[in-house]
Amino acid sequence: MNNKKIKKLIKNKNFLYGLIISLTVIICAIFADYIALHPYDKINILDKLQPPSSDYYFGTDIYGRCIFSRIIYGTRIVLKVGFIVTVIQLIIGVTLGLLAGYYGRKVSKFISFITDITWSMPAIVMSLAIVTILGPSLTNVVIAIAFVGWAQYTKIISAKTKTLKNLPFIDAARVLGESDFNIITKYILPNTVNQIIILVTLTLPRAVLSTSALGFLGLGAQPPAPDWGVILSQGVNLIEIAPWISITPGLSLLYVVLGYNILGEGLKEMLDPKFDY
Amino acid sequence: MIFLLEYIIRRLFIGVLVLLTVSILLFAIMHSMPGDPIQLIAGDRADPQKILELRIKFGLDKPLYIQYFKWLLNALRGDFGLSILASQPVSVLIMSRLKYTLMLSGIAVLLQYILAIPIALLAAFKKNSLLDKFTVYSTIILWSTPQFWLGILLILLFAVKIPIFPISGYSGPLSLVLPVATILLTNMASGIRITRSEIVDILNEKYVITAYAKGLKEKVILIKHVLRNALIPTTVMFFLSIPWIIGGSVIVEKIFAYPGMGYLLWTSITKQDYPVVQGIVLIIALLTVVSNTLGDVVVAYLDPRVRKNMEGK
Amino acid sequence: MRKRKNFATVLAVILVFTFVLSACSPTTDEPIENGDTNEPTEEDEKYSKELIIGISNELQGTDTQTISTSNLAHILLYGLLIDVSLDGKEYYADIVESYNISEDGLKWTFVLPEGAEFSNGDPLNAEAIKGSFDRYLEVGAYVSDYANIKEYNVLDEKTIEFVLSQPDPVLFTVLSSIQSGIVNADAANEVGNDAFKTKAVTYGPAYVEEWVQGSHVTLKPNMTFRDFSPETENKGPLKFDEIKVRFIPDSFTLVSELEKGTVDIIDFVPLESIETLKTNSDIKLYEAMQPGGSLLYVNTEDPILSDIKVRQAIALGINRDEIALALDNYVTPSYTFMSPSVTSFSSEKEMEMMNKWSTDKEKAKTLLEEAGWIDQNNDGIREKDGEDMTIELLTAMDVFSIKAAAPVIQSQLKEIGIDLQIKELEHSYVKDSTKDGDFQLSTRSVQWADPMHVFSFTTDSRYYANDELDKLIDDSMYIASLDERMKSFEKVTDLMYEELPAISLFYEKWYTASRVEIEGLKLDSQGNFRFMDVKKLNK
Repeated sequence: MNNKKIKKLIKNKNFLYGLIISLTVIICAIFADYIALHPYDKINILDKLQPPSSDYYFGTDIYGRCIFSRIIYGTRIVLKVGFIVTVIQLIIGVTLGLLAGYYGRKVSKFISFITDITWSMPAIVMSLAIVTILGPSLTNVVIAIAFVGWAQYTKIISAKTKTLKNLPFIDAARVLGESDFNIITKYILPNTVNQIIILVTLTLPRAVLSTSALGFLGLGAQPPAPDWGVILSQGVNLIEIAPWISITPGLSLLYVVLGYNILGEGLKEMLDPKFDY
Repeated sequence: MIFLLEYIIRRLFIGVLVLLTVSILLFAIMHSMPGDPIQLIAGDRADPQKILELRIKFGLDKPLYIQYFKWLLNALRGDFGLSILASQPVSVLIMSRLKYTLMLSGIAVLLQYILAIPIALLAAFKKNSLLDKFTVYSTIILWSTPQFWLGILLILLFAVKIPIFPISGYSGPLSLVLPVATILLTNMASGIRITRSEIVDILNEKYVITAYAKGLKEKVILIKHVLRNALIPTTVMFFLSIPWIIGGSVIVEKIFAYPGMGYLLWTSITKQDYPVVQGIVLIIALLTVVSNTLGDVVVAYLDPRVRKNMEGK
Repeated sequence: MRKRKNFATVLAVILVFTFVLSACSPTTDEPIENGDTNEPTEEDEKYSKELIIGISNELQGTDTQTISTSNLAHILLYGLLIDVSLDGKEYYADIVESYNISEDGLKWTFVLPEGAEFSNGDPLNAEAIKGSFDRYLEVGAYVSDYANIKEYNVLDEKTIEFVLSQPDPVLFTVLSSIQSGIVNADAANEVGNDAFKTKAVTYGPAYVEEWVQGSHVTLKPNMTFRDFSPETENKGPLKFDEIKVRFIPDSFTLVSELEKGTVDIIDFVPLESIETLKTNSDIKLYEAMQPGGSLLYVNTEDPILSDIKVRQAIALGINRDEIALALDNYVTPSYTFMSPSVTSFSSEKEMEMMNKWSTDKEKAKTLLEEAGWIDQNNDGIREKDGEDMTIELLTAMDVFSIKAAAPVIQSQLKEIGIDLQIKELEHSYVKDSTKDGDFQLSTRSVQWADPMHVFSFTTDSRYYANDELDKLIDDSMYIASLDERMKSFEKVTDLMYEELPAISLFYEKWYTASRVEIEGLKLDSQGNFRFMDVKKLNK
């Protein structure tokens, strides 16, 4: 991207704010050891259920653990979730999307058949099944979510590929004897990058929310991992005597998910206003 | 019209294949899960003899492929077997909870898209105004809120602190307000945003601007045209949302102790009640197939370009 | 613009609709009813005739003989031949007018009252009792519990006699638990077992009128029911016209309903809500002791754990008092694998083991060093032969005390250099893995007022076998003298500590709660409610 485009991007408020929010999350994750006040798993029974103070910015939970520190370290989980989900969905979804869009007819029908199957399997069934088969852990829950959600990539990418594949320069490449593989990877894929970027920023928040929802149901990060959804669900019953335990992770989730959404909106406005998801 | 029928039949045929594949996949997955539902219902100190009897009762002693075929043959006759946990016919269990699910998720999904249109229209016509920005941002904020959190907040505010509504359960239409609101508010955003952006696009098209300038009569045509096109993505999303009616309400049903199928699905999976899970997922798959096909048909009716595209296929 | 006007109209309609609806909402202090004829009765204006109970898990079924877990609803549905006293020390007649046990303990005779009927009108006579127990032997899960009863003799219309092959003190516990509730076997045979499960015909304080799956069960009182326990004032029937048992799986929602007053009694109070409820003047809390206890199983076949020193170190590294503190004293430390409400509990042994085995981190560290586990790279975790001391703990996600204690144990073991990895799973899965020896450490909570099942893992597990221990447990079970039995189980405890195939952790306090308007609700030593004397004041 050249300078003009970059300038234009920065002028877009959505993109700017979204970027700032995402960057703060990344910074917290990288520098958690320095930003956090205490280790996230340090149990201190005597300090349990303290309200926010200068010692504990966000107060403590029923084990006396510092919630602020847990939330800061929790950004690592948020990013990990986003990363794994994105990678899996990208690889499967984009590949299938390119194939479906380029080859059309039979291939496309077969791929839409597989997509239908994925849509029909409720996410909770898949998640629970995968988690119990592979064992309870955050990674496995995330894999489950990723497996259910790749279909949206396929739809968008295949639609875009369809519009691209009949363009004159693609025809020219074909005439010149370029292999299908080359055409797809060298010419079509780069032109879908905009869509991919937008998709990533939009599916990330969905993945974070799904993970927190499953954390609420009891699947996901094992103790003492500071998963925000787990912290939230622990705080729910205490909402009258210790509201900080549920408010802080709730707001944090809101912050991150909002940030990614706004980033996605901004990118959409800049890169592909006609994006349809 | 004839080709439309052809299209529907073809889609339904593929749909049957989807149903079969889904049921086989699900069967394989359920039986690969570790744990044993018979142990669960027999209890901690059960006699091995009893456990064997129970296994035979539910056909779990036979090899997997035989179990599957028996299930399939029975399912075709509408017999989905017995729930392992409740010893009740699965079809009875599902029927008893179906109406609650329709009331909750059905209404939520309907409202979602019915409300999306006027809100999106308002926002699009006043693009970039305060109202527009407020709408877009507040829906994004709501969408970014975890459902269980919003549900609990709504309970605290409108069922406890200001006791207008019942906290949980179903005891009349008032019980629906908070759970429907939870689902509605968290899901509204996507419908509104797509519809709004579609309307914005249409409004920007040249002939629309011209028609606008020309006066009232054209405005009427314009509005009809705008609406018609705005309905397209909304309709697509509406039909895409239908299969999620059952699986997507698990959390809301748990919090509001609402007797729908979502929570039944959850407890059945965690306790490995295979017949119930197979039955419910089959219904979800059926919904997916039917609503996808219906969605395509409706869109074709609304958008002549798509109709042409379908003819080309 | 027209579109705007239309929208405004729609919005207005929706707003008006909402206002109208909310104006028609029921007032908050009425229990939620579905359009019932709720005329305030002339007599007893003081007390309400409707009771609403909230439980956290749906019924498995209404037929006590074919379920593995029971709850409050079953207590209302089933009368028992005998029931344990509130202090847990004796057994009183419950539905029988009287009972008698012969000197040699081999003949148990029960006399039924006149005029008692099942919920369908069939008479409650000796034949019916025999029928009920015969049916259990056919369909029940814990048939071996009744193995010592060789004959059920109908002596006359109202008298039945159990003839035993050997004295069986465990039979007291068995007959006073819900699994021995009386069902109408004839009715069961008529409709078939599966249909019976939905709507059983029972003899108890109440019967099932309707079961709305996923929502609630509606119960009505059995007007012929009589309770003969000296500890009950109301000899029958129940003082309510209708009891609704609602299923509310989320604990926040359950507690909120109680606080709002739309539910009168709940069967579970989450740890975090105990403090809030204690200070709420509208709520009464009831405390009972778990009959049984929670233990930490240790796989003696595991390479790391096969060393007795390691097991001893773990036992000493755990600080039960700290766990109790972390859990707001919801749990009480236990050193003899059972709570005081279990028969044959020995408080002397408990004291002795507490003195010998309460937490000693220094000793634990020394033991680990002796066993060859040393932290060479100073990362806080010990190693041996290049391997980190990482141990996996399987813990039940659906048993509250165990789930809440795990992170505390994890932190305590970290202090002595062990890296504990927690895996939360459904408790039945944890149980299966433990039985199969497919684990390193696991925690389990046992609910039974007799020590036989607290120690049963040694007899039905595949990872630990000790003939001496097995024989001692078997022998101890049927000792008739309470004193001797206690001493025998003291020996069992000693053997357990020698080998440490399991470590005793704690037992729970079970909290349940009700509105202050509820009078007469009693909790016995095993944590079961007694409903006969319950009355509900009108607010």
